[in-house]
Amino acid sequence: MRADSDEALMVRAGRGDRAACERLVERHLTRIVAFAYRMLGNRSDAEDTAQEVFLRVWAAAPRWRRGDAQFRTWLHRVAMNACLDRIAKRRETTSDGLLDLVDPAADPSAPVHDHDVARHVDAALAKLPEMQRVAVALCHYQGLRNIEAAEVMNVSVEALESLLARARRALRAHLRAIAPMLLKGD
Amino acid sequence: MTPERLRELLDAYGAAPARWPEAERVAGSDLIAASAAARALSDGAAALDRVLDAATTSLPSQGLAARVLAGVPRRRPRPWRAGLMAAFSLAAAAALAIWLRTHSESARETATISTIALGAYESPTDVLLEPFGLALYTSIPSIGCYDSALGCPRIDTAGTAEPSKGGA
Repeated sequence: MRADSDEALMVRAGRGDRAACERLVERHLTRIVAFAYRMLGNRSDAEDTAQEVFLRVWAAAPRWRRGDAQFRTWLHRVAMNACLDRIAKRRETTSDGLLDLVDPAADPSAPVHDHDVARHVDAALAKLPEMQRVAVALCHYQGLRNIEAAEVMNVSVEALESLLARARRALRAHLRAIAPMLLKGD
Repeated sequence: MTPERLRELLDAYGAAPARWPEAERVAGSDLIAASAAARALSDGAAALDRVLDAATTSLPSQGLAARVLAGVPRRRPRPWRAGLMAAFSLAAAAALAIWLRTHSESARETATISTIALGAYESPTDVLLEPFGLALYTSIPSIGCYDSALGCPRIDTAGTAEPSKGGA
């Protein structure tokens, strides 16, 4: 284990080494906020979730042992569970747990501007079932290897590939319907 | 790599070989290079990738890192624990000192008693091992022991021998 590896930093963080904590935040906060945003579609919720995730990191650090699971995989699992918990709580107050993301392409024939593309994609991602969204977020946006993503989600690699394929088919269909010009080269 | 497997890879992971399982990257890339149909599939997957890459990215707001670090528990030295350790150390040292003192006195007494007890013997301890009915001093000659002060038996040629009584 390298001295500056995430796992070594966790061991040091568990001994109260503040510099190690700072290094972990520096390395992973942006990624966790991005993941939570992808899952929740809301910046404020994403940041609150990231704070929760790191509180769990600090709580787990004293018990972290060399040879434990890879930190990045474990961290994403904690983040995934925190996001799913938040979505479940939302579901108690809204019908489907999804945010009311504005879909700007009410008229599919309207011209699509660059700044609209992001909102179209955000809306399409928000409509995916949760586990498909997790799969796309981990593999496409977070850049995890398929084995890592499968481990985070506690599914087989085959099941992960199936989730990804269904998600991409759904995204393609949704984006074609709301903005056909986006996939004109498809 | 079969065309069917390549289609599965493109459907699941998109067109970038870097996202594919490592063991299938070379074969998949070779197939795309060699087949127009495979290239068409790859182009379709790449178009979706480009659109997905346009999704909004949320960067942490200023101050979030500080708020996250504020959650790090502060580890202060615990006075009660240090005091407890000191008390244990003192108690252990005191117990050891008392034990050593008691043990050394007891050992001295034992040595004295043993010496007195040994002094009461009037014959060599070999006699204690003497089997019943066998007179060692009359049947086994003492070889190389001539000092009667050490309890060596006096052997006389007339056939009678008895131990001296000077040894302790």
